Amino acid sequence: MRAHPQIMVSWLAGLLALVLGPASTAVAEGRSVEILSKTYTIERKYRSMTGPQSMQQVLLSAASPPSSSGSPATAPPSSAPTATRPDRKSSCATRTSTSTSRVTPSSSSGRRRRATGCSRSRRASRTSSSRTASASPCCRASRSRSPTQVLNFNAEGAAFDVRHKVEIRFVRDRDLGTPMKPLFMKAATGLKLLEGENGYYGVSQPTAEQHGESCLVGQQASPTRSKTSSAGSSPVTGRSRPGERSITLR
Amino acid sequence: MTQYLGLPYDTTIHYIAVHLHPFAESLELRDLTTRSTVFKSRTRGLGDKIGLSRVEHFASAEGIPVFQGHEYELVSVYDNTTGEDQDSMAVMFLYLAEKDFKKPGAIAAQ
Repeated sequence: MRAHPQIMVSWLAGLLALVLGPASTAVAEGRSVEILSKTYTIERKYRSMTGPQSMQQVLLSAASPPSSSGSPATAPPSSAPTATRPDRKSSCATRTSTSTSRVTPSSSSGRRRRATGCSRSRRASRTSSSRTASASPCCRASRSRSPTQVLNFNAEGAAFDVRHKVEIRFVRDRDLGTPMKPLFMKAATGLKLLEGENGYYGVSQPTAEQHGESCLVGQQASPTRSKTSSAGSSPVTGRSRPGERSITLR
Repeated sequence: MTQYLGLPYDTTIHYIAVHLHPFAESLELRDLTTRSTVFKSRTRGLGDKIGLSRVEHFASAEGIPVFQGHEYELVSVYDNTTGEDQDSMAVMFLYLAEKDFKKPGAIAAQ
């Protein structure tokens, strides 16, 4: 299997790099789960959002305790980790996300909010307790979803295989040695309808076939493909025309 | 986008992940009320190939203040050099400090 990093797209992969606390060596208590996606065979070009994709489920409670080798637990493709009994006493502070269907504890507004999955957490050292790290809290027993997709803008005339490796790092609440500032996620985005009278906005379970492709997490806003077929440029989903450089959404 | 963002209260941004498509040059979050830039992400292309090799993100323990009563805007800049329409997209995933988080009872009792 050959890897072509330039055509690999791990949705929200950038989120996994979240490091907010002070650098420290006290991350040994952290745990991690590796998710290997299915193997995608790339035989032609795929423009954005149209390449082969899949969704895998992962349970953080399936993560192995920290090992001396530091190797994370690995969740095989196309199967969820095998923990069967949710450990309600186990929670974790996490840094980031694949998309998940977890719902966090209600806020004071009483609204239920779609929250993010899990990743790396504590960097705050026990010896650096004056500084507080930040992370997204989640329940370790929550079933998270890890979507992956590939695209290919450049390679032609050859078939090759690609698969994603996603690592989710977290630390259990009970292992925290310093306070963790909880974070929640909001998407700063907007929608510009490029053609037609109405787009699709706030669809909880959109499909590419009916609502057009989109990279947004959770509820999505996306005009249909046909409605964007002769577009200008859109901050969310659309087309950029040669010579049209910027657009502003308020 | 202020309405879509829907800040529940004044808070601070501690991490921003930016999602863009090829040919993007930058994405900027502006505070229209203060006429200031909250964060501007710049990209790096793949040279003679299509794609992005780098998209700047933001991470801060101190955070950037944002306010429920302020108005915000997103400005995306794309430079499509291909001569044909290309997909475009621009999203900032903001990770904000939560003020009213409460641990689930079983965990808080530990």
